[in-house]
Amino acid sequence: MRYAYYPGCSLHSTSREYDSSMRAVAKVLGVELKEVEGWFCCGSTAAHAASRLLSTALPLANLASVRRMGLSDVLVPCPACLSRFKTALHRVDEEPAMAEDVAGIVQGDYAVQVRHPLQAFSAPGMLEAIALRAHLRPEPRRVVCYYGCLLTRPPEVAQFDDVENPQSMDAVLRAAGYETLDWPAKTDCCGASLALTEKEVVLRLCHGILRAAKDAGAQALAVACPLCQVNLDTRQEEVERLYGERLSLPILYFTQLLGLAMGLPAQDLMLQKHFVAPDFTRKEVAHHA
Amino acid sequence: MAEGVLRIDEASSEFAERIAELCGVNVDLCFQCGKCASGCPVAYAMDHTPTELVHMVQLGLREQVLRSRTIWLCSSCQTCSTRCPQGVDVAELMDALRIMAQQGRIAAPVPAVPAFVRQSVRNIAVFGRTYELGLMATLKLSTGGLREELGLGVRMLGKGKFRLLPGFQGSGEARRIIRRVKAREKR
Repeated sequence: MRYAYYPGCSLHSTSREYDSSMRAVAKVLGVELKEVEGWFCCGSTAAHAASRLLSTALPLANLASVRRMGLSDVLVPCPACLSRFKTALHRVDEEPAMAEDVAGIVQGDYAVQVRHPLQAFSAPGMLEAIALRAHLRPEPRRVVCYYGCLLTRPPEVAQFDDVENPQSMDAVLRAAGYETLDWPAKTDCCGASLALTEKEVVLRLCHGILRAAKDAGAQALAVACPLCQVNLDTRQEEVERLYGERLSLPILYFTQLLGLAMGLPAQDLMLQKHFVAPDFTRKEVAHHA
Repeated sequence: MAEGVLRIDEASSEFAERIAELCGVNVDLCFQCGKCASGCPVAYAMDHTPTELVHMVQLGLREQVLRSRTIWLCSSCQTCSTRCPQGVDVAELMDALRIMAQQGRIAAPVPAVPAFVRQSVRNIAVFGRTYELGLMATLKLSTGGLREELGLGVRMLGKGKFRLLPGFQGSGEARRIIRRVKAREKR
């Protein structure tokens, strides 16, 4: 399978480990990723508060680049970007006036199927492929899957998974041998869009999520969003200080967890980049699928 | 809200009409069930809950709405829009209100948020891909809080979380798009 791949700004800076583990896992699963040529920022998380037209045109211009590469499917690992791409496509579909405005700004066709890698990894046949490749059993392995806001909301735009109780990440990680727990904060907001401006709000929201994960008995929290990861990981010490609780909950990308179970090399997973140190041991399993 | 007499007349509906034109959200569909406020993760910090704010828009209270903390504290998590039984896209409404407040040059009670919006767009125009280290530094320098966040920034640097130098890939095309959008919006 061959996809265009739009990493987005975060995966080239604060979340290089998401990019690197994504590429490594995709390779193992036979998913070919072609980085979008000359891509630029989709405008998230700010352009939508500055101009409706700008926040529609920036993503669509990037999708036009995908078409120019001769591809019509793109994987977008950052849900903040993903949401902007899907919103832009939804908008030009629903609003003829917007489509007309965009036509004067973005050259070329931008009709591209936009998906999150979780969607590709949980597609028919892929869970079996993951189970087959996950030959190691990492410990600890009790995890909660945190989906955050924008993977599934709003549902008519996201068109993916259950909006209040999504399951795709759970299915993907279970296929790799992890035990995923039920918990109530799967789609709560961590406040990432306020990360640089309203710290008090962010610490409170992060605390709610981290606390719920601990109460469910999680040994690690799995994420699919670079903004959530940075927020929950780098702010965790401040949360602990403010609330007088010890949390020490490693926040890992689902791709890092997959890579651990697949025995991928440390330089692809870059676990050392996290503030809360993930400490895993792994042993060979006969076959758990 | 301050006590006083609200004057509701023909002109009161102009605000809601303008918003419908701008973003397609029809606030008159709202019957004040309160679901948006009860699901909002940031409602506790707002001066008006989302439900109240929608009502204020219905009543045409333009000034109070555009000067509220609410429009800037909204984290755009889309819970309200997802759960509204009347299909009112409250998160989209918040964006429209933020855009109106900026166009009207109305001073925000939470100045760091509109500063972040402005500087982010400028960052895209210059670098194409967001230069995060530069954005964080200029934002904290201009809105305060640099010292408070310096420790975290240094630790993130130590973990190799930042690209030290900006790149300029895609910046030409991003600038062209931004320029064309501005020209179109002036018409």
